[in-house]
Amino acid sequence: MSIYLPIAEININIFLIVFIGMLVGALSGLFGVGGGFLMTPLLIFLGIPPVVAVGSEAPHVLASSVSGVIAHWRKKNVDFKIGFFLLSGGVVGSTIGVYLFKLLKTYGQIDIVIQFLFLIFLGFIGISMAFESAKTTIKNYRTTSAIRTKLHQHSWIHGLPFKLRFHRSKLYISAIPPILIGFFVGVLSAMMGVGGGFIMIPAMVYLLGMSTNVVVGTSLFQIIFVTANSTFFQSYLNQTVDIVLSALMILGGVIGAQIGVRIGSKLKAEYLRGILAILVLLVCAKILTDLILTPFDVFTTSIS
Amino acid sequence: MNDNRYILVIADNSPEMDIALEYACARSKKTTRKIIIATFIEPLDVLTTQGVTEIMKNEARDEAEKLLQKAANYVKEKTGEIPALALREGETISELKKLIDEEENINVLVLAANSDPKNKDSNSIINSLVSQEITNMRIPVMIVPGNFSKDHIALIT
Repeated sequence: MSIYLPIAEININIFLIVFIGMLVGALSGLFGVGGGFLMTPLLIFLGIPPVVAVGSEAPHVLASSVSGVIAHWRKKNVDFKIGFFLLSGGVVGSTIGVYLFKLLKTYGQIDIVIQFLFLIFLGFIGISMAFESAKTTIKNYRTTSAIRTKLHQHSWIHGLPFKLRFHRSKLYISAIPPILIGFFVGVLSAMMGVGGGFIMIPAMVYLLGMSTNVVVGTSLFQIIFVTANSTFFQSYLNQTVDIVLSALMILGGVIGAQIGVRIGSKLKAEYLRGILAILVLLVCAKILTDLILTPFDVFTTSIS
Repeated sequence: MNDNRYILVIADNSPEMDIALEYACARSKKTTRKIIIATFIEPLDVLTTQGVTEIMKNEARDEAEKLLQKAANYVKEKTGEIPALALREGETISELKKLIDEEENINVLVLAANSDPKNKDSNSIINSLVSQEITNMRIPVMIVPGNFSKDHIALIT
């Protein structure tokens, strides 16, 4: 059964979209990740224009983050104060990201930029995850030496002004780094249609030194606002949010997440990381070949 | 003759934890049973880099150790005896059941129920034990209402 996507302007099988939504939903239930970094490339592979894939992915990430935030909120694992600074940077960043998106779109360069961003982003994630996973699989024993901790020595970050106390995160730091991190992830989030938790979480732990209890909840909390902002500006400025596409993906995602959570508790984290790394690298390889191979239509014409 | 039998209490940093400990201490003094305090580290629900995962695990372990220490000090003050401690990694309910099955000297589990009607997310251990696992338990479960005062606990034991 196919449906016409009004914004993407293509006919597509409903079940295919719902199925992919389920698949990515299961992955995010399994890994506790947003899944945007896999969903957007998959949509592009299906023939949906990259601009629409990115635009429509924002509401999908938003929807799949909400239930996560509620769960973490109940366990009191959200630091709203530092979250506020992250999201204020993030909202500005994602707005600028959408403007940048529009600029590149008018020059006709946006599709290639999206693909390049994904190539770098996924390549980096996939390779680092594959290394880590291989390392732990090879020497699968508990190392008692070299216990990794956060950088507690004072760095330049602690010298910045506007210091505030963040009780939940057990921090006394300047408000500037959270705003900057939020901003940077916001730009990427808007341009790639991802939540950005994969960059945000390590940044929160290593750069800010946040208490790890609140890291996941706070990251999801700010993702909600950033993706809501992206959704608004993408549809207002670029008209690239296909609500039918988003709704179908969300439908699939809801079902998939339940399945993922159930499988997840039975598998070891090291193997999960390995599986995800392989998936990410496969998607990455596909993007690379798409970029390198001579396209079917060498020239494209656009009327404006 | 009851010397090596244990009362199990769970340390989870909840407000009702003190009530459970208080009751366990009172029982312990009365029946000369020892106390074992257990705490559980829930598995991570997010997949991130290895470094971050390790930091998360270390922090969770540190916190659990502090929690056990706090509860152990409380018991020592009350009863004069140092309690046994158990720290397990894994899903709370299944690890709790494993602990009870492995340590055959444990012969009762004391839990305290949160008495605040507004707090809907409390009592998760009691809820899942009673609704799903109660027929699989080797030992009885005592539930102390969270609104009991220390004097009242002293009175009824």
